[in-house]
Amino acid sequence: MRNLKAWLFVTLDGVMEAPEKWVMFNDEMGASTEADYAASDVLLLGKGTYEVFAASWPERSSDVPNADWMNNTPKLVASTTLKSLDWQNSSLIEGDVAAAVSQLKQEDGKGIIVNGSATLVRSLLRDGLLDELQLFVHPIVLGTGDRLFVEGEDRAALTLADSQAYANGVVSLTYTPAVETE
Amino acid sequence: MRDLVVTENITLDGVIDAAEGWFAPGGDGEDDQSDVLDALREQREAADALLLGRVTFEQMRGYWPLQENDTTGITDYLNMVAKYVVSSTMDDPAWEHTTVLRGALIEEIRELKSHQGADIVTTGSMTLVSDLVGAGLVDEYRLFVYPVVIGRGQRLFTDQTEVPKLRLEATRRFRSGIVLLRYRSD
Repeated sequence: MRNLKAWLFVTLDGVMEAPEKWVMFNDEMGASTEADYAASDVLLLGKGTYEVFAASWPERSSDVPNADWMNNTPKLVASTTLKSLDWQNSSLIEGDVAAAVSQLKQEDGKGIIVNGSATLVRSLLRDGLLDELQLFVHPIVLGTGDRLFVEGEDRAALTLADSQAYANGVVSLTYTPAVETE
Repeated sequence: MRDLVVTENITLDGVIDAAEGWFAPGGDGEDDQSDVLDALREQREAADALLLGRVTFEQMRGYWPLQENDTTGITDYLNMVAKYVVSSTMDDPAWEHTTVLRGALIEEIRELKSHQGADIVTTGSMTLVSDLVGAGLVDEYRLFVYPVVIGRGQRLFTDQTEVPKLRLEATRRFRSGIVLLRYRSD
């Protein structure tokens, strides 16, 4: 079964919107994300994140960390409203996303990565399809912006798999779904 | 100047409201919380004042002094520590070593901080904490992040809160999957 891992940059108050405006990215975080990309061969995205990525990654040359992986790797987009896919190697998920992702996980291949895409991440977590959720918690409180978790969210019990404090004050917290106990 | 430390149990989605039943006072019965209790004890030993909002004060007053054979040390500590409750309506706090702070919050807190002493710790007290955060009075945040998403209840940082950038002081991981994040206001 292929591993489905999502990571997001979030503020201390849980905001994940427009991280390009506030992200604190250092070598340690670069090494972590690069290792995850190297272990994966599909990038799964929601519409919002896809549009932001499609507008920025194609411009980046090979010497930008992860640029080659981002541009060359197949992108699968979960959207019913996205009209055009301008980024190379992109395709829309046909039909039910949970079914498609479940099918994808059973196929041969490396890991599947999700970046950003809060709505998609929430539904993957609800549907029991997410194997790992990594949050890069920034030492910032923004006050406004879309959050990863919204009001009315289903309860979820998780298991802490890893925690790392980086030199720049960002903390990485990695969770897996909690194992159901009788 | 004494530090005002806000310490909270907090869910992954930022909720500090205990009413949703995701943690038990003094530790959960199922998991081994002895390492969390150790961290709380260290915190108690570095503090000599407990600042609370009225609701949390009354909840604690109605629970802890009734605990017999409490081996965590929390009951004894809460009975003996200097407690300050922020309330304009409370007459008799009915708990030894308690002072009611009735004046304007910022003045009361500045006065409290100006005296010689160790850390002032605030916990629970959602309304008070929100006011303290908004007034820029918090020197340190100690957040015990629980590995749960709850989906409802008051958050520590509500919308439109602007807090200056924080400096990560320490992180500590516990057996149960709780992670303590300590931040100082720069």
